[in-house]
Amino acid sequence: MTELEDVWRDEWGRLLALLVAQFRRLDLAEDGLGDAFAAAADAWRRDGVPDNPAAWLLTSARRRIFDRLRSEAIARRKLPLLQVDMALTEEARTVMADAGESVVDERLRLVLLCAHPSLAPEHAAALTLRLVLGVSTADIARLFLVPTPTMAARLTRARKALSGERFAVPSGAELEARVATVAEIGYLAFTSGYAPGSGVDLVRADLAGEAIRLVRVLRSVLPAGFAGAADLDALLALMLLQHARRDARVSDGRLVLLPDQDRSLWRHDEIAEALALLRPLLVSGSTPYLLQALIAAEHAVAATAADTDWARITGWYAELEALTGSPVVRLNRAVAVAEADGPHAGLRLLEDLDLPGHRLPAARAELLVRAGRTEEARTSYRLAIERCGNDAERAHLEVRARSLGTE
Amino acid sequence: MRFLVTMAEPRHYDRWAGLSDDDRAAAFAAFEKYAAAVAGRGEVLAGEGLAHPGEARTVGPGSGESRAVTDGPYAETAEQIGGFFLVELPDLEAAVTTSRLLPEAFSIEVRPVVPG
Repeated sequence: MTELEDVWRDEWGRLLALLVAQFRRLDLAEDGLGDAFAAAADAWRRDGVPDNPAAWLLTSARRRIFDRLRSEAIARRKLPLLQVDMALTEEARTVMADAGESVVDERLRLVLLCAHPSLAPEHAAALTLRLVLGVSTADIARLFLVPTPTMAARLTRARKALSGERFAVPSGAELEARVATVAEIGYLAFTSGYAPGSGVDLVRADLAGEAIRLVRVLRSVLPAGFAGAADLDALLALMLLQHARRDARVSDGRLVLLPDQDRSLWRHDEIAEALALLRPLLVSGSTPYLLQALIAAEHAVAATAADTDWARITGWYAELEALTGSPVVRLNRAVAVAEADGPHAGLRLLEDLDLPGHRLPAARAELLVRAGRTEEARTSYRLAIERCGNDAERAHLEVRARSLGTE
Repeated sequence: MRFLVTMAEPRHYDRWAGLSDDDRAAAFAAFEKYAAAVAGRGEVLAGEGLAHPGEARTVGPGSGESRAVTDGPYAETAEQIGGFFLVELPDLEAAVTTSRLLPEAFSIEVRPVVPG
C-alpha cells in the first residue's frame, strides 16, 4: 500500500516528536506509533484511507500508549521520563489533528536528542534513522551490515541512554555544536552507504538516500538565520554530487572509477541542485564540507574525465589538508596532484604518509604504474589486495595487478 | 492465601482512551495505593493490564485440531476486564478490603486460588 508508505515517510518523524513531547518517553512513543501504523495497514485496506491520515495515526497511537501506561501502572513499572518543558507537553497533549489543526513540528528536538553527545556516533546515526526517519530496525541492520537482533539491542541501549535527557532545543553555541553533530551523523550514514568496509554489497545507495533526507529535514526545521546553515547547504551539495553518480559507479557488480564512469548515467538534476546550493557559498569562508563539495562539483561539471580542471582541484585539496591535517585528504590530494603535475609529484606527497587499510598502497600502486616503476607497483598491489576487505574493490585491484603481467 | 483480583467495567477500553489526564492520573494513584496496602499485609505476586478483548482468541472445547478458534473473549459481555492482580494476603476479607482502593470505575472480582 503505497499511500501508507508515503504517510510513513512524510509523517513519522513529526508524529513521533509530538508523542515524545506528550508522553516524555522514546520507547512508548515509538512502540505506540509503530503499532498505529501496523493497525493502519489492516484498517485502511479494509475501510479505505481516512481523510486525515495523520490524525487517525495520532489518535490510534495515543490509545495504544494509554493502554501501555495503564498496564505499567498496574505492574508498577516506573521508567525515567525525558525532561520536557511543561508548556510543550501541554501543547502536544491538546493537538487534535482531526479538527484540522496542523501538527506542530517538534522534529528539531528529536533530531537534536538523537545527536546527544553521550551516544557513540554510529549508535546516534542508527537511532536517528529509526526515530526521525522511521526506517525499520531490520533495514537499519542491513544498512549497517549487522544482524537485526544486534541492531535492535543497540537501539534499545541508545534509547535507554537518553531516557532522562532534555527534549529541548538549546541555543547559541550549544545548538551549533549539536547541529554539527547531526551533520556528522548524516555524513557518516552517507559514507557508510558508499564505502562499506566489507562484504559484497558495494553500493547501498538507499542508506545514502536516507542520509540526504536527514540533512533535508534538518535544514527545514532549523530556526531562520541559524549560523551554521551555510555549512549544511555545503554538506547537502556534497552528498548530492556524490549520490548523483550512483548509477555509474557499478557495472556488472564491478566498481567503476570516476574517470571511467559513463557520465550520461549521472543524475544531472541532482548535480544542478547541488551547484545552485554552492553558488552563494563561494564568497563565504571555507569549511571541510564546502571544500569537498567544490572538489566534487569540479568533477561534476567536467564533460569528460580529460576536461577535469586538476589545477583547481589540487588547490582546494591543499586548502582542505591545511584545514583538517587529515592523512586521507593528503592521499586524495596526492592523486589529484599526480593528475595535474605527473605521477612523480603525486608519489612525493605519499612518501611520508602512514595510513591503515588498502587505499594508500592501492593509490601508490596506480602512481607507480604511471611512473613506469612496474616492479614496485606489483608489490604495492599485493599489499593493497591483502588489506582490502571489500569483495568488489578487491576484485578491481586484482584486475589491475594482473594487467601488469607477470615478472 | 492467594487471590486473583480482576477489574472490569462496561466499555472499559473506550472509556479509558477518552479519560482526561487528571482522571488517568487518579487511576494510576489508586493502583499505587492498592499495591502499597497489599504490601502492608502480604505481597503483590503479579499484576498486568490486558489488551482489548478484540485481540483475544477463544479456543473452544474439543481435542487437538478439532478445537474451534474464534476471535474475541469467551464471554461477550458489556463488562470488559482491563487487568488483574495475583496477590498473597492473609484472608478473603483482607483481599476484599484492599480491593476497595482500586480505581472507582471498576467492578472487582476477588477469587481465592485453590491452594496446592
